[in-house]
Amino acid sequence: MATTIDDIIAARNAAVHILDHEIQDALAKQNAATSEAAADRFNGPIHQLMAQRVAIFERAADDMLNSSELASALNTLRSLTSDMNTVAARMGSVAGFFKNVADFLDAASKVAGVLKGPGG
Amino acid sequence: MVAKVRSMRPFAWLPFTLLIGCSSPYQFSNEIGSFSTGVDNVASAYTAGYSSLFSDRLTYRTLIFNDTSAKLKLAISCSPAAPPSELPCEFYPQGAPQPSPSDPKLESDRRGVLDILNVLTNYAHALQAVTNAADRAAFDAAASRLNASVTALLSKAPNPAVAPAFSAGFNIFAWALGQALDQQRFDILKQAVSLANGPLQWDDHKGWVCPERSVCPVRSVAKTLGGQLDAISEARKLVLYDTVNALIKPLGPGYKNYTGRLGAANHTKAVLVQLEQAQPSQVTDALINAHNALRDGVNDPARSFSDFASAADQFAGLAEALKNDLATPAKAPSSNPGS
Repeated sequence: MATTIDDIIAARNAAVHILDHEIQDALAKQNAATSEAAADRFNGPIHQLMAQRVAIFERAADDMLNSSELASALNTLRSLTSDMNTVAARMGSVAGFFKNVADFLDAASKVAGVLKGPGG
Repeated sequence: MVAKVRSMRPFAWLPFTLLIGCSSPYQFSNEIGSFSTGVDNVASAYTAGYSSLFSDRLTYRTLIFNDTSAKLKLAISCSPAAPPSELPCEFYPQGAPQPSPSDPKLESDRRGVLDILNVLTNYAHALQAVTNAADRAAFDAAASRLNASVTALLSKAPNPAVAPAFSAGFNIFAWALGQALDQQRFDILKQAVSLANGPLQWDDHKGWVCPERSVCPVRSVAKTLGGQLDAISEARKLVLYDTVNALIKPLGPGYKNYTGRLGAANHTKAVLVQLEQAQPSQVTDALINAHNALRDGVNDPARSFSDFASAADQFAGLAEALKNDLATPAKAPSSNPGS
């Protein structure tokens, strides 16, 4: 069964939840350290956990982007957009046609006026 | 003349038939405008957030170089003779490896995300196109002018009395045609919004959900955009967190630029807090909610769209706030003489 965008978000949130606990735990230990040197030793591991957290968000975003669910959704929206634009353009086309005919008739009217002459 | 007037009679029934059940797409125009502005702001939030992430990284790197007085080299990828590559053109400390992309997945996804944003903004703009009342005004003006032109020409014909009869008949024809075009617009609006939305169902724990084996395109696209915006936001938060820590690390008694550096730290911390509060997923959920309310509005026989109006406003407001939050970059200290 194909992975849905909801599945990806759920897996991402579960992984981030676990990491958040580990990060909170490491930060608490760092704060409780008795010396600056001891506290500094936590910097590397904490940063690695935070970087891993960001990597999970980026990986999930990439998975969603490459999902078949998204590809299908985009195709549907493209098609609907095209249909709406086609219908929207009809009114403009008719108005343009009316305008062109009116221009032609205005010109014809002037010619008719000239041919009719001042005496009618 | 009477014969000609009678020949127009077949048109006479048309407007009255169309009047029954005819719906105006223009009543949704303002709210769809708000929805479309919200979508544009989501697109701007992505591009601004992406730029800010790179700007934040540059600020952080520069800060570290300044603090360590690092001996720097220029990456090989900067050379005009270097083959095209995805490696960034940056400074790096002598002895360290050549710089590599900081966020390869975000960078490789960029083209795809811009494509999604393009599809979504085009969709929102198409919603605006079918509800654009200016088109109807232009149609009415063109019909009116054509009527006047024909009438003027007929008045110069051998039997000018035919002109008023034609004018009356043409008015009915133009009115009926306008109504028919309006109906087409409303029908396509209703159909497109319903298909794009899908049969979303509200779940108190999960929000708007798409039933199994159903398709909900706007939700799928919005959730994916939310994922990308979350990733950018989280990446920025880590860079900002590192920057604030690097900024306050040397501060202490005797530090010469204490005030300037603390000011930069405060500014960066404020940006970090702002990003902590910004919830990209909340914005994309508001998009889904607004679109669902539009679906309900166009399918409501009473054409009640007050829910859509408030949902569209809420989405537009949240999207603008997100754009502003993601657009604020970190700040380097004004000068950095060290301790």
